[in-house]
Amino acid sequence: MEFLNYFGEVFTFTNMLILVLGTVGGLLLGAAPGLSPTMAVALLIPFTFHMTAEQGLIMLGSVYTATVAGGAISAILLKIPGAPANIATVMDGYPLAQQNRSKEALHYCFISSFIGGVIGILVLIFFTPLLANFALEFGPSHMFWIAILGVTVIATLDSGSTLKGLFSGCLGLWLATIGYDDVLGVERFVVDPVFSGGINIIAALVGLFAIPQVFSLLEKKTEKLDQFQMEYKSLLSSLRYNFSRIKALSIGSVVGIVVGLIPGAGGQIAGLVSYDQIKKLSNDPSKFGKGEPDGVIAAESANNAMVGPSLVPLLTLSVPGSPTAAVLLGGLLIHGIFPGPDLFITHAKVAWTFIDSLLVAQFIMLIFGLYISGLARHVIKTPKNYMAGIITVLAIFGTYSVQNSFADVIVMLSLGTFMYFISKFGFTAAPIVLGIILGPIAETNFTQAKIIADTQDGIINYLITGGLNLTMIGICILSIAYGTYSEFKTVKQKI
Amino acid sequence: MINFGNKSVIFVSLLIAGLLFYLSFYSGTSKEIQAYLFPRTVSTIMLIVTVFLFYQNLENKFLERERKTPSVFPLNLFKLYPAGIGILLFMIFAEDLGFYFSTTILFMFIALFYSEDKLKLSNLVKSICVCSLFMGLIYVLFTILLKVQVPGFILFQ
Repeated sequence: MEFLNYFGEVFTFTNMLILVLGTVGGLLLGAAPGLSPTMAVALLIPFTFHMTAEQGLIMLGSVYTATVAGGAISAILLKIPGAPANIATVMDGYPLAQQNRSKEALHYCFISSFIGGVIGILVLIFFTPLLANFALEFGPSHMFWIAILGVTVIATLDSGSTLKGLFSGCLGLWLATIGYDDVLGVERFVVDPVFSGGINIIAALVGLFAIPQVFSLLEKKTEKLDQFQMEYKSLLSSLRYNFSRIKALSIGSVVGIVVGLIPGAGGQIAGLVSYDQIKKLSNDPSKFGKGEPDGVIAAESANNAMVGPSLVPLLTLSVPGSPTAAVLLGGLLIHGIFPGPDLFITHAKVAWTFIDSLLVAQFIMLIFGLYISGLARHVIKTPKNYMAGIITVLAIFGTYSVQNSFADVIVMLSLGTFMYFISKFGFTAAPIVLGIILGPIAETNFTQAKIIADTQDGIINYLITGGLNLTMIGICILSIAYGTYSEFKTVKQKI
Repeated sequence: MINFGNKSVIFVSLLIAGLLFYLSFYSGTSKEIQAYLFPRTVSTIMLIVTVFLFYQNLENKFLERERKTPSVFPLNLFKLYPAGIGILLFMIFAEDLGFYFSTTILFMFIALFYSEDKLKLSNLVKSICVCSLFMGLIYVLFTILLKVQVPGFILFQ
């Protein structure tokens, strides 16, 4: 029950202010189509550089949870999911809005998100220390495999193609080798002295996630959308109905937790799987897709229940559970906090304050979510050209502010443009980002393992001997095999 | 609009992997070989993955799926090149012109050039107001609150 000791830290004036601003901002950002939670968190990381570690993480955590829930606003009102996690919400949320029940749908969305979110954070609170204790025994070879596992899992699950995902992951790992080698002190691939320290993580994060989005916004034409009037709906009756849908809530929360614990899976899978399950287990599946509240309840409780568990592998093993968690890893690293087995020993205050703030954020999200959805309708209508301009300016100033370096801005814009170009060939940003973040960890531990192994049986024997090493190699192979199998299955279905 | 064929993926991945392979194996001295072990391994894996991508493209089933749900998307270069040029000009001149001045110009350019409304005086005034207001907010946030010193030029020294 160590988490209870740090609740006081969350309720200081500054931390509460950050929490409220992060949650409200996250709800509005999430509601804007095209601003995914991953991009929102990436854009905000530079701001947290000027805060303490606790404040920075509170900001990022609250934005993460709120953007996932906020994405449902545009899913329900416009039929455009604010984030991939809200794809399943569209299926019944939009038909509800068409029946002039948009407020009712938004009520279900935020109440279910709250219930799922709280359950997910409780899993995070109770699972994390258990896994952290187990991971304390890890040595260099294990840490090497952990880093490779992180890249492999994101590469195979986030991308539509396993091979393209692996290629992107390797590209990130290679980019991470630019600059001084941490162990041997040799300078590599440095075309200009500004790259001696390597590619700045924040510049890479912001560039890879924000700039391709700017180009995508400018590329597309704005669609003419239906605008619904908000009907009157009593919150009490929504609450009563929502709590009576135990089956939808349970399925959503359980699926969200399981999917969240699987590294790399993410909210999109949680929402779609739970929607599919509630439909299959319903007495009348024909109602789904025509405005069935259970569809919204299951999808929204699942995508928010996923948030907490997706942080379990991140905080204990440095393996992010979702692309947004991968970006959060960057946020931890700029504060000098390396998540891993000893996080709860060396940075207990930061870690527990962050987790406790996520729990409090769920309550704030519920209160503001229910009342802010009306305001969010105006954010949704922001023209794409202004949205693109705002993202560009924020990305430029945010990146510059981290090190007061114009070279970082150039790297950010160049990487972003390059990412947009290769995204046209089906390559995705998340594996590249994770490669850049986990690359130094993989390489340092690989070099250390090699130094140790040179006095023993050689590097290959050292890396593949022992139960834990073999287990992690097995998981890497399994994730590649699973990715290939799913792809193969999709090919068969499509033909 | 440029439509890439499925085989262009092979070309792009081969280009990237080949370049990184060349840089990894032809950089550094013989004494620094240990430090290049990791990038060399990674670039070799990238080349192997490219070979698998090539093999995958030869398969008829894959091509059939690509025909139905393509994973290679057209590039709307005609629509995007002004933004690309704007960003390039920003990268060249921003440090000398000052951050606030150059980002305001970039923002205004994106807002006006990519506006779906007809260019009228009212729209121009609206764009100027939105840009000025947002840049004012950025100034308060970065320069006043976060105390970030950006290249100044004429304005905001």
